[in-house]
Amino acid sequence: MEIEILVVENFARVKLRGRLDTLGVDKIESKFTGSVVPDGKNTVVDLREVSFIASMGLRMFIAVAKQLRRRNARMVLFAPQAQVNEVFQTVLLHDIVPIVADEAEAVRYAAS
Amino acid sequence: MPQSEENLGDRTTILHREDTVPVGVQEEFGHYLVVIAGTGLGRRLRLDAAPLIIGRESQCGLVLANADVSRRHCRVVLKGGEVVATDLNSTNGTYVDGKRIREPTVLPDGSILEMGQQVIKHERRSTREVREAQELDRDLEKARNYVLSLLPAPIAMSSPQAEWLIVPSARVGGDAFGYGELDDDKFVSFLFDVSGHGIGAAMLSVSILNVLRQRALPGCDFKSPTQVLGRLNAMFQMENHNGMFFTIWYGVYDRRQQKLVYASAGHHPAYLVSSDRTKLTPLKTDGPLIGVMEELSLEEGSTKIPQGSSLHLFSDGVFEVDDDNGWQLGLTNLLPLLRQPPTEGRSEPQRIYQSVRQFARSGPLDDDFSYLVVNF
Repeated sequence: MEIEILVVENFARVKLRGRLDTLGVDKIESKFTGSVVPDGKNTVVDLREVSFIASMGLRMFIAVAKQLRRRNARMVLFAPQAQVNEVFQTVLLHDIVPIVADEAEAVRYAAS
Repeated sequence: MPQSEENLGDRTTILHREDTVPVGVQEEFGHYLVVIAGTGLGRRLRLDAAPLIIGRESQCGLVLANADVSRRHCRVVLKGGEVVATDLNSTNGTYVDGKRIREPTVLPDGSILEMGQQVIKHERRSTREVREAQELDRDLEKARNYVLSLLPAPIAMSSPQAEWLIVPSARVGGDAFGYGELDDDKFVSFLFDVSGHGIGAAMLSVSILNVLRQRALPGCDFKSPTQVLGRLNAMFQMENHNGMFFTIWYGVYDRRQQKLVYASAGHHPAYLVSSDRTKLTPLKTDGPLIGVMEELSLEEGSTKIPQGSSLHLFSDGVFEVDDDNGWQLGLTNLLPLLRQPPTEGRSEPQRIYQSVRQFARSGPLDDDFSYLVVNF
């Protein structure tokens, strides 16, 4: 599991690559949370190269989204693969974290 | 283990046990390889002066029956206090902390050695730490056995009948299920899956299971699926339970009306399989994960239950299963298995498990396999 974080002013763009299973989440969770939560940055997360998500991955997104909300910031996920999106649909993740089709829409949504 | 005695002047003697290493005694450290994903999950191997060959061949020091791994894949040597890995011209390559190695490479403490989907961690540990890790493994085993002891016995002699199979993964998961009579007419069945693995997930699983088994939601009508799920959501908010949440499917069958009412939250559908196995009906209502939001909007579904049909409830560990090439079975590919004819001498859950196992890569499954069938 790999993570790239680009912070521009008050906005973070996170790119994830690999499998968000227990092992994958263990590798990136501290970096992900530590990079976006303390400063309360609006965050967009690129999921194009995430091939699998397990409950620990959902837990990470939900926890970060809730912590950002407390800091009046927002996290938006974008471009999940079909298999990952199927999981999001099953658990109704969009009720908790916005999920959109592409980066431009994610940036607009996060800033709105 | 050092001990000291304290005599209180009567017949009481208190023994103090000290876990710390006494001053002046050098704690012994060793280098260990621990399999954290793939074949042999949980296996811990101490390195010594002899080089360790990892591969599929039976002569290797660490044999991994995994198609990702070459016959002789890599060599690990403990040399001058450092652990060094060398790829042996393997087909899929050897990676250390995500980087493919082309020459002998030092494995720092905590580093990850990957060979395809086979993942091994290097740990430098004292014998005391290893003993503690082994105790933790035993605690996990106890937690797993405790969850299993709370599951109901299969029902063969009355209607509806119930049969199940749970095959725990090497890591303890948070799956559990139950069923039983609510009154003369109503029969309840449910299955839930707590996020994550380990003792924490198992403990939450036991709490939820006990609440449902003992009907310990004051004022709650257990014949109402939405009421039960709503009350569970209020009781198990993730902020109060170490950030854990769960998915659940809950249904109540009315014998007199031959009708099932049900609700699900964050869970994939249960499936009603017709008696001739030609028809699969997904049973699911929209509901978010339990414990994530304070307010839930839940829906209730209902369906007629034809005589001879079966209700299949299962966890995602049944279909989130990879084959040797990393392809996932998925829910869509699982469903045709439900239509296949029964196998003599095997329960339905056992039949499904055998089919899933044939698809899956070798070694234990990554997640608990939990499968419950209620036959009407």
